[in-house]
Amino acid sequence: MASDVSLPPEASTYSRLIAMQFMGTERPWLNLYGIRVRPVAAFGSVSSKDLVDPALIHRCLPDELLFEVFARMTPYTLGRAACVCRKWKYAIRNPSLWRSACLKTWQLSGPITNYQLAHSVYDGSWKNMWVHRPRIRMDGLYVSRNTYIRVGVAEWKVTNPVHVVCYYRYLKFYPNGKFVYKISSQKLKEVAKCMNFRASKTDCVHKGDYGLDGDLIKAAILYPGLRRTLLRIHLRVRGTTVGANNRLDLLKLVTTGVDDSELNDPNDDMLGVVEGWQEDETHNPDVPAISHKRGLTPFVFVPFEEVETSVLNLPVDKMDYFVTG
Amino acid sequence: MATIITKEQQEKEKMVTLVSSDSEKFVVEQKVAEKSHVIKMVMNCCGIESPIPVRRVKGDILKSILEYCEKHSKGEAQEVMEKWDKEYMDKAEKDLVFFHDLMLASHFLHIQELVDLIAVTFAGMLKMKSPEEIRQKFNINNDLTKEQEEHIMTTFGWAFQPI
Repeated sequence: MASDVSLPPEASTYSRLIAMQFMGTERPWLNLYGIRVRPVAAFGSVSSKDLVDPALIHRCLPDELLFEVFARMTPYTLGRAACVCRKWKYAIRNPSLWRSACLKTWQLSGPITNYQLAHSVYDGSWKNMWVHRPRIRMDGLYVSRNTYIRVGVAEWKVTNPVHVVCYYRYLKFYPNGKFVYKISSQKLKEVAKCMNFRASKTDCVHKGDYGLDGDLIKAAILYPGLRRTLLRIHLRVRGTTVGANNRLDLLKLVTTGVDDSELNDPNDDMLGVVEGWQEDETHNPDVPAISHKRGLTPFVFVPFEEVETSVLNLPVDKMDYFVTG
Repeated sequence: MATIITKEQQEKEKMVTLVSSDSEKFVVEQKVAEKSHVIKMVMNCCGIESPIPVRRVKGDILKSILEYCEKHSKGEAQEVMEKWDKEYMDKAEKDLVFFHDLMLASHFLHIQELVDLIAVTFAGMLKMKSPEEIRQKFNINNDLTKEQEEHIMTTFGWAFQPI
């Protein structure tokens, strides 16, 4: 080559380049790949003991796998898991966990409304929204236990016997805006099995539609039969502790008539039929609107896991009245 | 006749050898190994002639994972699969060390179905347990301060199914 091309002296030979460590650069950090570095105590920490986590789960599973597990929990399990230790507490603050819980629970409002509410009312915190926004619980049944005293027939006795009669109203809600309702004297554990859409006619489980607006639930059911009767229920959601949502106050229970022309399809949205009706409005003169005043004890929530063990199963001779609080 | 045999042989030849970290060898069909996204990529670029080393996964774990992959590459009815999955998880659940390793390995090999299955099972193990029960089961230290605990109990009180 022509020698007039001036090269820097150190670039003259390939071996010089290697020696300069210009080619084949050492990257020592690559040696750390795949090695999990144990967390060290904060600077100035009083504890000088070795920080080996006794929990296998923390030593083995990286955070992203722990998150995979958390993402598949129900919000209630999640809430309990948050109380286990500091690491879990911080992991569970992840908003995406609560966002999916919120979007699922309030799917009737639609995602856009949910996003707007989360940002305008709950400071952009999905967890806040989960705790403070009234919601209907779907992981169990709502039970209203009603008792009344009936005077019995005196048979060769001086004193009149009285009977305490106990009956229940059962509600179970579904995320898609449907719910099932049953009124019966059967105990909770017997009813829980048949409270679904697959229930046979003999179970007397009625299907209806509901809507949640703030903490108010409006629901409507069509009773089948010759004289079609609509049952309209107004409820208010509240909780015995913050975010529990384990009570439903029965505000109004109205039976009213409906005109056959309004019902085209038995699967129609019943709420749509009664939309804008007055409280005492009836569309069938044979069936007057009646607002019921009896059996309005607040509903108590019982999760599926406690159906067998709940105190609401107790017979009247063990528990004559349940104070709902 | 002869051609049919060679075809069958060709089918049979689509086997791949996987080597675990403790150099145990597993010969499986290609479609079984393909369940793992990572191994699939390796097979695509390096072929299936030479054994594929699966470093970081021990023999017993790899055996169990391949068992899962084999079952799931058959395309059986859903009910059969679900039942089998449940039995498979029941077995795995008993040994926590094994269970953790299984999850790590399936994550490492990128078998998303198995990661999902394990995570669901894991979440099921924590269901309806009190924090103290969870700590005992997984040997977790309670490093929360008194104030933190009180604060948590006020914000998460609803999770404890108050009557």
